[in-house]
Amino acid sequence: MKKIASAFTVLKRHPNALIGSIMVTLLILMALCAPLLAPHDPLKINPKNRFDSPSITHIMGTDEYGRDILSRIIYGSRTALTVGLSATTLSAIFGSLIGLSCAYAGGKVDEIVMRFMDILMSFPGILFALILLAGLGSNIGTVIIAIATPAIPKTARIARSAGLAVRREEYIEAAIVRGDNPLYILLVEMLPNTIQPVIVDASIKVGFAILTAASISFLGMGVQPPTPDWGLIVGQAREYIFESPMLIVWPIAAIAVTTISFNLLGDGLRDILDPRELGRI
Amino acid sequence: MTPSYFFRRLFLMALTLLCISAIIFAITGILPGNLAQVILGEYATPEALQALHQKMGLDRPYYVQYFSWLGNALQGDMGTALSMEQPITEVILFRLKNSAVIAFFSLTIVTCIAVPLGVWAGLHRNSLPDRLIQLSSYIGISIPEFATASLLIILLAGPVFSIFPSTGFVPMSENPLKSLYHMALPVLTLVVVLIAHIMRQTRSEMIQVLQTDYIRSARLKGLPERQVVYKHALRNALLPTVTVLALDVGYLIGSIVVVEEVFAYPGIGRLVVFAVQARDIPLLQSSVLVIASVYCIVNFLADIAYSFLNPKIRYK
Amino acid sequence: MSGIKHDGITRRAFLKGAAAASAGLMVSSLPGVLHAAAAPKPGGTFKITVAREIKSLNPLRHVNIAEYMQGELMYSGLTKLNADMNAVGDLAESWESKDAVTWRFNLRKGVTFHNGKPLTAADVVATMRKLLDPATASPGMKNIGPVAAVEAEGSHVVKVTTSSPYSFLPKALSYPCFKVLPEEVVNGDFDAAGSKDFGSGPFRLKEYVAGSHLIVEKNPDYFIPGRPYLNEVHVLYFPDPLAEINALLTGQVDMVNEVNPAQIGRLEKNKDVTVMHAKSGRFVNTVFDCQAAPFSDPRVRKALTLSMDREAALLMALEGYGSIGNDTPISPAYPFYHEMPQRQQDMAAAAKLLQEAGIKKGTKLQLDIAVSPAVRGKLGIVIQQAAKELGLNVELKQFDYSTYLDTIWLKSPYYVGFYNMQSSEDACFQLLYTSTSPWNETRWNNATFDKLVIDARAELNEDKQRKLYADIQEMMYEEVPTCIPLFLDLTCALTPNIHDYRMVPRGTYWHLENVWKS
Repeated sequence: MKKIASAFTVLKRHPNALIGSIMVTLLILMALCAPLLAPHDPLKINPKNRFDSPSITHIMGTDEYGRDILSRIIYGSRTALTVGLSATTLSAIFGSLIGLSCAYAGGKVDEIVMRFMDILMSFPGILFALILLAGLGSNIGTVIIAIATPAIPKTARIARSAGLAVRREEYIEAAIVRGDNPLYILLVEMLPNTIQPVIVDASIKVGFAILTAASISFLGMGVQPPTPDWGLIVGQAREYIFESPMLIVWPIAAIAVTTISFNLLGDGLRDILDPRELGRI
Repeated sequence: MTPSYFFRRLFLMALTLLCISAIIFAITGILPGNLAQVILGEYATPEALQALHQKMGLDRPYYVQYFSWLGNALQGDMGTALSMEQPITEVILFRLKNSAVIAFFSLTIVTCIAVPLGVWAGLHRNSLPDRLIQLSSYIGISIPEFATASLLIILLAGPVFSIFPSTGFVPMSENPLKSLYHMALPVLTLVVVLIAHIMRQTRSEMIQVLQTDYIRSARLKGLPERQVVYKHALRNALLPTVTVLALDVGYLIGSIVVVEEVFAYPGIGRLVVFAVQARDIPLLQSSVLVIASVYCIVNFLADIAYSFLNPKIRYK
Repeated sequence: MSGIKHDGITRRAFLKGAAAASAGLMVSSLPGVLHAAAAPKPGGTFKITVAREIKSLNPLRHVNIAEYMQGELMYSGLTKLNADMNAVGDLAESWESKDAVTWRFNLRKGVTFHNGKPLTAADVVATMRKLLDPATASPGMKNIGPVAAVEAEGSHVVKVTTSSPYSFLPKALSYPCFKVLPEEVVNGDFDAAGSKDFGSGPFRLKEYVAGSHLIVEKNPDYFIPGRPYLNEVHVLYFPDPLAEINALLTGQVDMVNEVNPAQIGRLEKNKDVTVMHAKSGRFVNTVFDCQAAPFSDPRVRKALTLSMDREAALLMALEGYGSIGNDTPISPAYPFYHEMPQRQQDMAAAAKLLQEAGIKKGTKLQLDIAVSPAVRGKLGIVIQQAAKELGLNVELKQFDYSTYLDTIWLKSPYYVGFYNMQSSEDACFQLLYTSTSPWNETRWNNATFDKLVIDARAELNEDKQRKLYADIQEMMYEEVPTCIPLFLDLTCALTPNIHDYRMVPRGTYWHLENVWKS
């Protein structure tokens, strides 16, 4: 109880984080409770109700198949959050494992692996994602991999520099002398003490991952119709942009609100956990 | 900057490109879709497929294909695009030029707007205009490129106001005015996308510099504020901006892919998407390699420029 | 602008060639016949946009609409199809056959190639042999009918022998890949035709930039006096449908060859643009592999077909610009279209059939779809939702077009197909549905059907032939090797100062030599 109370005091001093965390909580609730919240089946087509204007039954109107836009927007949060959160988690896990291993091993291994990471970083992420998707085929799993992979090098860098500091600590040296299992040292001794900057970095990246996922869907290389996905809705409605511009405006608003929420939360978290960076932004 | 630093950087860049070319070749090699089938289309007979397969050298070992591709590419010959029976080098140069034109215009406009605004916001931290700038740039980085582009189309190319065309490309050489007119929306989109980014960076650089001991002592010395700001702070804040701009070229390349696609602008980004969709592997490999090279070269130049401008690095 | 009048065609017209190709076409531009407008005015540049790319200038290699257009502009064939889908002479002045096995095509006199060389029967024979040679691997190889032999009789008569009586030969020979090249090119540097002009058509090559445009100019020595009217034709490649429409609206081009259904409504509201439609035989279908479970059971195929809401599909997939199909590939645009009761959505009957076939609720089916053209994906969504009401779980799997060609087309047990109208009923059945057809995607392999198709193509009595084609269509209707819910309209848009353009439902002929600009 006390912990929660103190968390609130901290949040109160950081309005960004407060707003961000409330919004993110609401979004996650929306995704989880989509079947309860959505007034209609997001996939149900209806030839008689194509391009309906907003009304009581269809608050945002209907799309080119007569489907309820509001319901599709609500369900769309599921793909957006799934991709954004899993891609970021995936890159955080692999990034920190690689970074920490390098910090632990040092020497040639460290140099070669980190050089390779630099090379991967000098390659525009979306291009990497597009090529990967072309190879792996498009579904939600491959989209997650395609977004997570280009994000790994930066996380690895952050984890490595945090890991290097810890590596010099006496208790790690002691563990090595004791002959502890390297994996044990890595995961149990080093990871908990280096995870903070990685978490801060990851929280900032969620918004970016959601944006990238939306762009990939928009290009038609991500999740496939009729899955309700915000980027995909915009991509599919493009041919109707002159007749029904609102088909495009709604999902864009959803993307913007979601990204802003995660960015607020991420920036706020950084301010709280990493006060040195306070001066920035 | 010492010559050794220069050559070390140059060597690293070459190494990076070599690795990237290998990675590109490896990934694109696993793409499904039979090249010969792609060329011959629905009407291919098995014999014709086999013959073409051999003619294209696809029956050779993988590493042989890689080195012959790389060797030819270094000599400026990237082979023939499967989907258009045109030399790839020619196609890429044309597309690269088109992309360079919109990239140049948008970067110039962005620099002229975002840097002064960022500096100003940094100086007047937490004032109302600063907060407005902050808010708008926050929204700016939270909207994907395709959304900005689509909103601009709705706003300026038809549904609301009909000012600019949403598509169509006219080469500069044909009619410069018309060319600019058709370029307006893609450039505007890139400007909106980049402005938020660069403004945020410049502002935070400015704030950091203003907090340094260097500026504090300048103030303590009793120098007039104007002089402190424009002579000392600004110079130091603009330095990192060079790097930011270079980094933003990478960001810009990512954006350009989407923006060119929305506006059907025949640039290199759209070429990549096209090559992926058409499974034109040779075209894909070469165009991605060219983009990566551009990115690496820009980064290299930015590093060199930075080390020239910043005495601290020069003697490292 | 549909012009599907076929009742007036007599048997004689089929077997004895309409020499009056040019005459017939000229009628349309005579004052007072179709247009009360002024006499055609020569001159002008005509710019037309196409959504596909010209990859090769060699007609024998042509596979797409843009290439067919280039072929027609620069080259001449033996025959062509007119707006009524009848074969008319191009290089052939007339033709005749008594038994539909031995055919004689009399060539026009005084035709010269663009290089000045006079055209003779030897050129036609050489080109046709090249086309039929498997080593050429021409996409048109199997499309010009059961040609057994071709030889020259003198300088201006070509004798074609078919392996069985084949009344559709003049139509089949209109296949857009079959354009005549000079004999010495065919037997010499044949590959040069990929980028050079060896034609005898109404226009000559002026400039060709692959992936961008083709410019052709008037051939002053064209064999029809006074034609073409236009000085130049520009064929411009526009990969983006919105850009294409924009170019038309801003006056950059005169005509958009094919308008995406979603844009038609917007164009029709615009007074500065004329939109033309033609009812066609182009269709989109769901292909069942009749040898793979569960589609090997006709009840399953029929149930899926009965679940289809065709009206909804027409609206959503084509914005209403098309017509409803009855599960045979023969649309009313074909002469031997046979009217049958329209198959309607009937969920109760469909559910009953599924139950009889032992298909449980919740059964998963994967429907494979190529992303282009978009109508395939749209139809997929309608199919999926209809199947859901039956308790079937249809999963849509999308592939880009090249992966589709490589791994799905002709291979997958359940996918969405898309086919152009063919020159004749026979061409359509022989291409897709007989057990020996090159694209036998349904693997229906029905011997009775095969025999009917062979009988029908050889039948020379029109009434009997009509009866045979009726039987064939009824058979497909009953056994549903494929579900053909929709026929697409061909839609083009042009500026009002373009005259005498008539659409051919087949979609592969333009007759631009008759078009003029005011």
